This record gives sequence, C-alpha cells and structure tokens, in this order.
Amino acid sequence: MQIYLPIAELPVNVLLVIGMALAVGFISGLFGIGGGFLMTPLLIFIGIPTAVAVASEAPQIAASAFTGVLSYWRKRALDVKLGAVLLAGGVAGTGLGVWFFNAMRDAGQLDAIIAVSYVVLLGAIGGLMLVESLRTLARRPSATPAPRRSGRLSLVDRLPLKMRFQRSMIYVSVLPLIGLGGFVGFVGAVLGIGGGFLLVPILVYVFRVPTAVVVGTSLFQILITMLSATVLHAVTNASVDVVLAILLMLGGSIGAQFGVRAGQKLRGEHLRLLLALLLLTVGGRFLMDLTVAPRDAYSVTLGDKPR
Amino acid sequence: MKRAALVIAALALGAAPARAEKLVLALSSQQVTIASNYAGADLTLFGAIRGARPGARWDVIVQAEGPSGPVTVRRKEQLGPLWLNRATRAFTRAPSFLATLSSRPLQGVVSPEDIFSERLGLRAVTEGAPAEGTRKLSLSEDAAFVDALIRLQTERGHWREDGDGVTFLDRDLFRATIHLPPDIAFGPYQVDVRLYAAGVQAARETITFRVVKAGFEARVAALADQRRVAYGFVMALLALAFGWTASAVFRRE
Repeated sequence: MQIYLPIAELPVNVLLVIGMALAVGFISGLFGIGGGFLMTPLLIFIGIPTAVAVASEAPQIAASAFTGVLSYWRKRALDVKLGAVLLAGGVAGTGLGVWFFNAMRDAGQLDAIIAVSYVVLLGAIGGLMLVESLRTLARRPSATPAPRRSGRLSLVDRLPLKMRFQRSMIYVSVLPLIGLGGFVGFVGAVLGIGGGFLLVPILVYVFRVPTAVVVGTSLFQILITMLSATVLHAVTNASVDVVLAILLMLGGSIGAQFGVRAGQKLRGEHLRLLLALLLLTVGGRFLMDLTVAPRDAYSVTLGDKPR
Repeated sequence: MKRAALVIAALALGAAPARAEKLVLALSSQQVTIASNYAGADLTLFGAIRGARPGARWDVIVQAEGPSGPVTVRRKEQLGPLWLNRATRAFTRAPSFLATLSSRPLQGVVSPEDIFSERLGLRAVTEGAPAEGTRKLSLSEDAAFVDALIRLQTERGHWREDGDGVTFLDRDLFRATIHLPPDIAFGPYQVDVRLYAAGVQAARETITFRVVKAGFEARVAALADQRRVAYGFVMALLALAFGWTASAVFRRE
C-alpha cells in the first residue's frame, strides 16, 4: 500500500512506515528516550531525504513524548521543576549546536563527524550502563535502590545556587543541571535527536535521580524541545512532511503506550541493561559504517545542500 | 507558401532529397500529475515518419531529459582505520532524469563523433556536463567519477540507456516507453527524437511534458512553503492532539 509524500516528494509503503514507528514508539516509551537516533537512520534508509526525515520525525517524537508525559504525570513520576531547569540550558545549547552544525557542513565532513559522535556517545554511555546494570544484577537480591554516597562531597555538591527538587529527591546546584541541559541541547542539535539517551543515564548516575522520575522528566524535556524543533524546521526549511508525520505519529503514539506499560513491569536495572545493549548495537552499526570498506565507495548528492 | 516553394526548389535541384522526411510525435500524456497514489508512471511516445523515401533503413533515437541541477559525486577513501569522503567531483548542471532509447545500440546508429557532438546517451551527456573541480583530477580519475554517476543514477532508476527501447510498429511508425521513477523531479521535461538513415540525421523533432503536483499534494506543498509559521504551529498542535488521543484511548481500556 503506497502513499505519496507531498514534501519528501516520493511514495512510501504505509504499513512499513507505521510498523517502524510502532517499534520505535515502543522503545521510546519503554526507556523514556525520543528514539530519534533509531528513526532517522531508518527513514533515510527507505529513501527519505535527510532534511525531511529529521524534520518530520520531530512532531512524532513530540507526540510519543506527550503520551508518555501524560502517563508519568498521572503516576506522579515527573519532575517539572527539574525539567524546566534543564530546558533553560537546553535553549542555549541548541542555538550553539545549530551554529556548529552549519560550520561543520561548510567544512564538508558532517557525515563523518555525526558518525564519530554517535560511536563515541553511544559506546561510552552504552558501555557504562552495561557495566553498571550487570554489577547491580550480580548483587541480587538487593531490593534497596542505588546507594547514595551521602558522606562524600563531590565538586558538584559544592557549587552554589542549590535548589531542592522534591519529586526527584535531590538537592543540588542548578549550575551543573543547566550545563547538562546545554550539553544535551548542543548534541541534540548537531545529531538531530532529542538527546534522551544522554539525559537519562547522566541524571541517574551523576545526579542519582530515581530511574522512574528520570524517564518522565526526560520525556517532558524532549516534548518541549521537539515541539520547538517542529516549528523551527517548518519555518526555516519547510521540510516537515504532514503525511509522513501523521503516519509516524499514528504508529509512534500507540507504540509508546505499550512501551510505558512494559517499562512499569520491568526493574530499573533490567531496563538499563536493555537500553545499554540497544545503544551499543546502534553504536556498533555506526562504527561498522566508518571502518568497514564500503560496498560502493561513491555516493551521489543532488542539489546544493547535502541530503 | 514559402516552405512549399523551398521544397519544390529543393526537389527541382535534386541536391538535398534526404531532407524531406518529417517526424510527427505524440505522447500518451503531456502532463504527469502526482497524486497520493503516484508510484512511478510509464509514458508512451508514438512517432510517425512522414515523407519517408522508400527503401531506407530508419533508426530512431529518443532522448528524454528532466530538469537539471547541481550534482556532487563523492568517493570514500581509507584514512587510518576510517573510511571518509575524500575526493569529490561536482557537476554544475546534470539532468535529474535522462533516458536515451534507440532502435539499435547508439554505436550502430551514429558515429562516435556524433554521439558526443549531439550529446547522445548517458556518457556523452555526463562528460559534456559543465563541472567545477574541487580537487584536481587526472583523466582516469575523472572518468571513474563519470562512471560512478552513471552507475548510481541508473541503479536509482533515474537514468536509462536502452538500445532496444524504440520499437518499429510499421515501416514508418514507432513507439518508445519512458519509465518515470517514483521519486521524480518536478518541472518541464523535454523529449528529443532524432531520425537517422545510414548514420545521417534525416529529421529531428522535440515534444515536451510536465510533471506537476496536483490537488492535496500541491496544496500541502504550497502551504508548507508560503505559510511557514502557521504550518509549523499546526504540526506542533497535531503532535499534541495525537499524543493526547493515544493516551486517552489507552487509559479507557
């Protein structure tokens, strides 16, 4: 069943796109990540121009995230205050990221930089999470949550402008949180992703926010980022394809619901182990693209802009 | 009147009787409309040879070209452990769509010099395309990039060369099918038809068609381009509506 996409300017198989969106939506709801780092390569693989793929995915990630946000909101597993602080940094980071993106594109090595960034980020975070979750699992049956090293004062604990986040049960300076938001916004703009896969582990490991709250808060941050990204892409490039976005949202919103339910049934360390494996798999795929001799060394780019 | 006088004069002189042929062309459609069910299309070209002198063996070359634009070909090369895009060859203008169909392979119809001077076939068009070098390339290097562009565009179904693409239905009536790919470029297309007898061009005629978006597709594209802010906010609201609906539906269950 084919349908023609008016902005991407090519026909796609409806069931294939909805199926892909269902799968990515499930993963998105399960782990509280946007799923952009999975969906972008999939859409490009079926022939959608990169600009349209990235732009049309933004409303889908927003829709999935909103569904998740509502669920976590009702379960009181969402820290709006923490999310707002992260967003404050995110705005600045995104602006810087867009500037860096254009500078690298002009330099001509954008693809390689994106691939290397994916390998480094996915590999580092995936590896870290894998080791941690396996250690936690090996210590079973410890029903207690991750131990808090309250006795030790790290650099983060000594920074000024401390703020209490009741729902997350942390009391920290807002400076590292704004910095984290800025970093995630920067990386997100460069890689065209929401940045949930960075935010979740850093909040869990560095700031020791409970996993359940982190997922809801991360989804909240992704929701706002992706809503602004939708409007920005539409205004600057007119590259949001309404038909593609509706197909993605249809599959994504349903998939996310199942994902959230499955996520509630799984233990935190199991969730983190699965996410670690997923990140390492995708990172490994990018590493292969970079290091294995390509089947065809040549590639064709039409038009002025790299697609 | 003038033309008739010229023809009579030519016939009277007997100097150029070979120029008497004329091509009459018809396309199955002058406008290809892209609607939501578009997934590629076939256009059929019919041609008749008028005033054909008896006994000649006719050859026909049909060359269809779509809108041109800049094209860049890149090649990955190994740098340490990584494969990175290194050498590039930019073509300032190359057709987005190109089909060269003939009744016999080109080499059998025209001389190699004419293939290039008349820009016939994928190789002649590609090598004749204006280019700007981002790096100095040797002749063999340059040929490798031309080869790569032809190969990749053919694999995508956007370029085609078929030495068996024109079929004679009768002594002076022929047909050719132009396959349009699903991800086709919009705009004017030109179909050049050349008639050859024993390697000499006897007649040439051009027919055009357009590829346009229609109805819903055209309105969406226009809206996205002209009312950008409104379109963006509608998309954002649509995202929220979808997310909320999914949540509400699942909660009730």
